[in-house]
Amino acid sequence: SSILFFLYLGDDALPNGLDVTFEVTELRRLTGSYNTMVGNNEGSMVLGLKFPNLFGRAEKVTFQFSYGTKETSYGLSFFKPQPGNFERNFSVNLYKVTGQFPWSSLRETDRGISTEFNFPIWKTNHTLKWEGVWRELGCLARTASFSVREESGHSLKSSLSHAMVIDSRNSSILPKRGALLKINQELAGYTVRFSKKEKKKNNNFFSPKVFSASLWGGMLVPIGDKPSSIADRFYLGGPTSVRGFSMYSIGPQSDGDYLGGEAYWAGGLHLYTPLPFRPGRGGFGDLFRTHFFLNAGNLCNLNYGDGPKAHLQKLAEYIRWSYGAGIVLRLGNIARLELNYCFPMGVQSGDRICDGVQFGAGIRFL
Amino acid sequence: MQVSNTKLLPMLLYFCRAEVLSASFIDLLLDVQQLTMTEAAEPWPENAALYQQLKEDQILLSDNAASLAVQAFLQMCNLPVRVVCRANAEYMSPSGKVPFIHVGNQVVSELGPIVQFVKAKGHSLSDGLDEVQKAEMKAYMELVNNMLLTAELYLQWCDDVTVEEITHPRYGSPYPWPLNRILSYQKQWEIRRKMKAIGWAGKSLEQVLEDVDQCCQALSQRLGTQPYFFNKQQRSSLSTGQEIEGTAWPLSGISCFHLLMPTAKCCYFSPCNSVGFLHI
Repeated sequence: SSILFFLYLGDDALPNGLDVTFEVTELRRLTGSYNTMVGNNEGSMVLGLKFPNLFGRAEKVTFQFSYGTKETSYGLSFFKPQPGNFERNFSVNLYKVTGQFPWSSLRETDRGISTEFNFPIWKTNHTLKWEGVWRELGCLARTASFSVREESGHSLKSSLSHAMVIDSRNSSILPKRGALLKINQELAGYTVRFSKKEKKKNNNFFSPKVFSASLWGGMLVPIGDKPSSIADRFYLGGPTSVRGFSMYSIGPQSDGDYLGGEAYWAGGLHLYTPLPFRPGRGGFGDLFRTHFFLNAGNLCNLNYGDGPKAHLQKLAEYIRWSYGAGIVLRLGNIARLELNYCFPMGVQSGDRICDGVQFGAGIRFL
Repeated sequence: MQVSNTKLLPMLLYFCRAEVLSASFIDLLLDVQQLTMTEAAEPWPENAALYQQLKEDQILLSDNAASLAVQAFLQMCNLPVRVVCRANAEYMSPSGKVPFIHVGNQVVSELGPIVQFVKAKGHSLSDGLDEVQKAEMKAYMELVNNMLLTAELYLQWCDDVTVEEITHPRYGSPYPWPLNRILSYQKQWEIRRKMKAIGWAGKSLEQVLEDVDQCCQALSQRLGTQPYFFNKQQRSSLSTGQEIEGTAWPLSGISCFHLLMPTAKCCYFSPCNSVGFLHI
């Protein structure tokens, strides 16, 4: 494809008028993909279909089907942007996903439908979403603790959520400058009722040494008498949040199964520097960074009868924190790998730690 | 056999406050001979709990009977257990069937494994039967299990009237729409598939009732005029009038185990000083 510029010399030409022609190759009407994935004692076959421009106005329909030795999942999504204004769009999704959470000995199957409406307001991006999910929880093993067994069964969740994002970073992985703020609220009815807030802030300055600070927090408030469900609570710990602790292994637990908490906060300070002696400079070496970090956080259940002062006090006692250093590898603009040496501190009884070398891969890091 | 009103039977069974003790309860009667505590009995924790579905609105005939059977058994063994009703009891159970008991750290479901578990804990029951009688007992237990329990399931899930008027509303009652419909249809499909596998799908209601009748007659014949099925000893451990689940258990007086048929004919095992019974 190419863009051609001509000087326009017609009768109605403006003094500085240009005739611009875009020469493009249209995407194929239907694209498909087929992958096989192997990992964690499970193999699966993934089939994808995409109509990138169904009715001629950038409507996109995608279908993905994954058939595995353990689980099967699928998703169908329809996306339509406003003509002339791609940032304003809405999408409808139909999906079935299954997840296994060994840290809680929990297995979850969600079948749901969601509609999402995105729109920008000035410098912020807003998302309004309604989701209806049929959620099925079960024990992953016969040895699951009774608290987890009590949560097994079916429930229906209907929730309305709003998210606001302000992102001024120059890259989503290893940015050199900018900040990200994301605030999320969710209100749900039916058998699950709660409201959830989450805030993320990332502040980076000056290269080649980059200093970054981030803060996460969330609160889950049950409405009415029903207690919150294990699938809605927050989890903390692991190579992507408070490093030095095992995956989601901080906070309330029963017989080794982590139950999550209704309120949490976590913060991190990082210093990124290029690799010592700068091997592979200008090429592959630029994807790596060394980093020094300090993480802290807490996860607990709040007694909503007490006032906010009591809540703050509860969140401030028994803080878990850790420090260490490691190497970060950036994968494209989506993900990153980390290999760290961690020193976990403030460990409470019941937490599972991973002191020493810890490996992490993911999209969203503290 | 004439069937006067096929619609009446399932409703009668529910509305008359009859807790139909299922075939598994007969197993109990056959199994329990004499209560003895062996010397190496492990202590039974205070907070042992039995989980079943919600009593008033949700639980179905077969599950209720199974739960009563387990409660009766534990009571006979003098093992206290409190009954906890949960809407998701069926999904909490490790085998997917109710009832299940939570004792200490262990979770055991269904009557058979619970009996084994209790035996293993040392609160066991002495066995006064010889080999021939044991084999006979097993045969009768199998007959009753296969026939009566399957008939109950057929009635609950394959008879359209019962399904529409009783089973679907009850089974899905704790859940909001549309989940209540989805779950009960899912369960119905599962049970009907099972029925097809054992060849009961093609049977009509009359045929099922006839099979039940024959089963009851066989048991009735076996009992004859004896007080118990397999042992002539009098039971002394149970005192008068214990109330379990609203079903009274009088020792004195005549009580009969019936299964009310839509015809006026009652099939019963015999008057006996029995431990458990069904009253309508």
